[in-house]
Amino acid sequence: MRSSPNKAALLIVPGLLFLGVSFLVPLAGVLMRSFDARGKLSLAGHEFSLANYAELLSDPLYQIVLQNTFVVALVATVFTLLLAYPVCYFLSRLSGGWGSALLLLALFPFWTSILVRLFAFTQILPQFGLMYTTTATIIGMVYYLLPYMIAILYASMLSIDNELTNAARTLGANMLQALWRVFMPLTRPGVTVGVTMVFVISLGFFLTPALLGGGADLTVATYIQQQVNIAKWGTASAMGSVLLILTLAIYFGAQRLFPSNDMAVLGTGSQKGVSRTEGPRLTWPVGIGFVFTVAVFFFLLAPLVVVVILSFTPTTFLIFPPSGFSGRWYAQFFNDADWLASGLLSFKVAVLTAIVSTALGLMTALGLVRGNVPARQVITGLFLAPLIVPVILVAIALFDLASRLRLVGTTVAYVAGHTLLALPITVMIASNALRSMGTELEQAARTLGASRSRAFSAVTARMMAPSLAVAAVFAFVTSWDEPVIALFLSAGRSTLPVHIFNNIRTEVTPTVAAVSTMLMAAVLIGGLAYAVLAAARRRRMVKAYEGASYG
Amino acid sequence: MADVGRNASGAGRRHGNELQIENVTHGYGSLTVLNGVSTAVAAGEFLTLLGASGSGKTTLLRIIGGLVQPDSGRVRVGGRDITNLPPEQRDIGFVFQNYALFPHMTVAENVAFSLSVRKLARTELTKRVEEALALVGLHGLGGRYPGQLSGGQQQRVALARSLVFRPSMLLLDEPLGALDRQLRQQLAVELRMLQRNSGITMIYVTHDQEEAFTMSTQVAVMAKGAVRQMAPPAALYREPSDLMVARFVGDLNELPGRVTELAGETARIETVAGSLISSRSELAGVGRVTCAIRPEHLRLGVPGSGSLNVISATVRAIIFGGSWHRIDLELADGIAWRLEGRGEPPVVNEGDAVTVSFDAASLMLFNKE
Repeated sequence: MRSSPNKAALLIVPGLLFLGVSFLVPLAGVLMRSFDARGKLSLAGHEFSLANYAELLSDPLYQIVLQNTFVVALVATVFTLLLAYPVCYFLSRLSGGWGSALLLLALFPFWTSILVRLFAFTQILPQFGLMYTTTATIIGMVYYLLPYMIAILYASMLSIDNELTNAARTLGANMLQALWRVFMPLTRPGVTVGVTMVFVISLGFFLTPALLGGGADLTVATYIQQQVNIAKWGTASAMGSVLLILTLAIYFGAQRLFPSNDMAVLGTGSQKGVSRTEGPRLTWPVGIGFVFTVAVFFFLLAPLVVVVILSFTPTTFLIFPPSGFSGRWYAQFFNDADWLASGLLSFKVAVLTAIVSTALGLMTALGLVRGNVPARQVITGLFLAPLIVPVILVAIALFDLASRLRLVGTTVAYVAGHTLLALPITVMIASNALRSMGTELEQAARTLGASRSRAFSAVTARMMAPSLAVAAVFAFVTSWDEPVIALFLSAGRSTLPVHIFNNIRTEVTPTVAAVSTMLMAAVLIGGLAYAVLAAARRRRMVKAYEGASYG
Repeated sequence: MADVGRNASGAGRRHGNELQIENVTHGYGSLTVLNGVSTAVAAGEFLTLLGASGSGKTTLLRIIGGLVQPDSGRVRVGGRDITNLPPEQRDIGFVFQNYALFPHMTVAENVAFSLSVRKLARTELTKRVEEALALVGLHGLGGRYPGQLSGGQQQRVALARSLVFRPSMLLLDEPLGALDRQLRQQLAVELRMLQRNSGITMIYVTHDQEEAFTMSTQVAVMAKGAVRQMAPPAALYREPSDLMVARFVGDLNELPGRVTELAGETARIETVAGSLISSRSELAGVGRVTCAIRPEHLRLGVPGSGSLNVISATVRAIIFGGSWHRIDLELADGIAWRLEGRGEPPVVNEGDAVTVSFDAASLMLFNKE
């Protein structure tokens, strides 16, 4: 019994090994390259040199790239915040299930492949003469970032009791004062988290500027990709290192400046039914929130609707509105060996990623939560790190490693890369599930005579099953939609997002619209199936509960 | 706490303000919460709105405070119509059920909030905040955050915060509900003293009859969105207007019956437990009624005189509670009654057949509901 916490701790070893091989070693490789004058990676005869960094400092082009990246990221972050805040205010003040239902709608683009979204903008922006401009990049970025910001702000605003602004009113504050002095300060932690996250994502943007931006709109990420393409690893890796350090500095800086527990944001307790059913009164802040909500929802959903309409176009080129109705591009997809092959490859990679990362995530979570792990905080942070490190950096590091191992274009490489991104999510979900469950039920099973393994499988594993299913779905979607790592690792065979990317870059056939529509339909069907299953499950539980109390 | 309390409200208000509620209705969708409530409160009263959950008492309080708009009806203070006034212009303090303390502000900042939106000078503001904190016994805790305080302390902060701007009236929505029983009783007495000393009109919402009786000068019993009866606690207990009120303000033994004779104020009622006499028939008509009597008005055995009513019962349980005792009885037809007395219980055993007697004056009659 005594030795068990440490036996459990051993469960993190496979995960650690995986992280070491596919994350730490390649990243270290990129860092080492940046300190080699010719960008070479060799342990023997390695000469330490700061030449690449000196070049970054001296060449004005790099500074333009860096500055450009920063300004674009800042502008996109500010616009995202300004659009999301009133929307979340409105949604969080809605009563009943309306707020969360509308939130799901706002998050629909988030579940849609980024390439579908980018494709939509490549069709819409030219209508306004905005294609290949910085403005186009920023619009595309805001579109991508809004769901993140909305999800974070909504969650933080939802926990703010209406009663607090009511209290401010009874103390003599008018609507504006109540918002300014009570509501808004309480959203500060949420705003900090949202802005930090969105800004860091903005710094690493790669696909959006690559597809929507102008030739002069080089960002750090697009620049790194260009350098790697011409095998200039020295500057690419130095630039990547700078991006990594900036990202980490922003994360830790934000945490230090605004520690999340700097004030006791508790004691607001539960609230009575009556204040919930009151619903939003038609005050002008709610009115402004409503107007923003309508506008933002239009912005979020209209591009996707355009894609659906375009997919039924009968012509061989895309015009809006289409001149007729035809399903030929759907047929085209199923008759085209390349499209089908990439779809099948994506599916295979996504399924394998879901299996591997869920299994690895469960083991790691068991080790971290149940085991007596030394330096638990550091190790937990390490498992979450792939989410923080800019994807472009992970991508070039993996590409570097895969080239050496001659694994470029193989399923193993894809699955490893995608598992890297999915693992933090599965570890988090499984850890939360384990923690919320505690060990009491498992101990109860053991006092009733179950063996350790029997108690685990009969109690803990069964109770965790829904969480693990959610983790697997997240992992599947992460892989299914992942374009950047797949782009670097593809050689000949490409996954579906990469195939779409290449198609948008070169010929743009309406097949892309048809594929995009099918992808969205899959998300919609999946979401509805989940909702139906969840509702059925709830009904079953209620029935079981009633049966238990009356029968 | 008394001195500053007097200071904080101004003695001149004592006879000035009067709250009038005229035919107020309110509903959420198809659900009617308030069904045409009319009532009036004299200045300096401590009125408790007493009712079960869903009776509309909290909604009525929020309408007075301006947090909910009534569908129809008027709210007047001192003759002035405030129905459409936003809460910040009503000069009415509100203590919320979960206190609604601002978690990002210190205790002192919470208390100072109403003064700072009124742009009070710094020195005056500091002085008033300190006075208010001293009033509720929280001197020296101004620098803490609400999350660092106990439930009772948070409640006191909420009280100080809503009194510091010297409102004309204070509304309290079950402010003691989240506290444990002992603290609740202590704070109820403190609140009563604070109100009596300051003379500020208070309207208090609770579902706890004991709490209501401890503090109030007037109690309004609410049910189904209407005020059933409003009276001082003793009158409410002694002369409830209907069975529902009688049940709500104390324990009650009930017995169905039929009035067979009516002479002046004396009625004869036939029941399964025998024939009974009540001298309080002004409350009922003729025909089917419910006889009701408080447990403390029952006596075991047959005393010499005065008790016109004697019934037989079986002892089911004897409970000794220290300063009081209780005997659970079973009448004919399995009807359960309860007898309460002071001190030690009389010498009877569970299962004994006993006689129980009570005065005609203590037997209440209510029409069937």
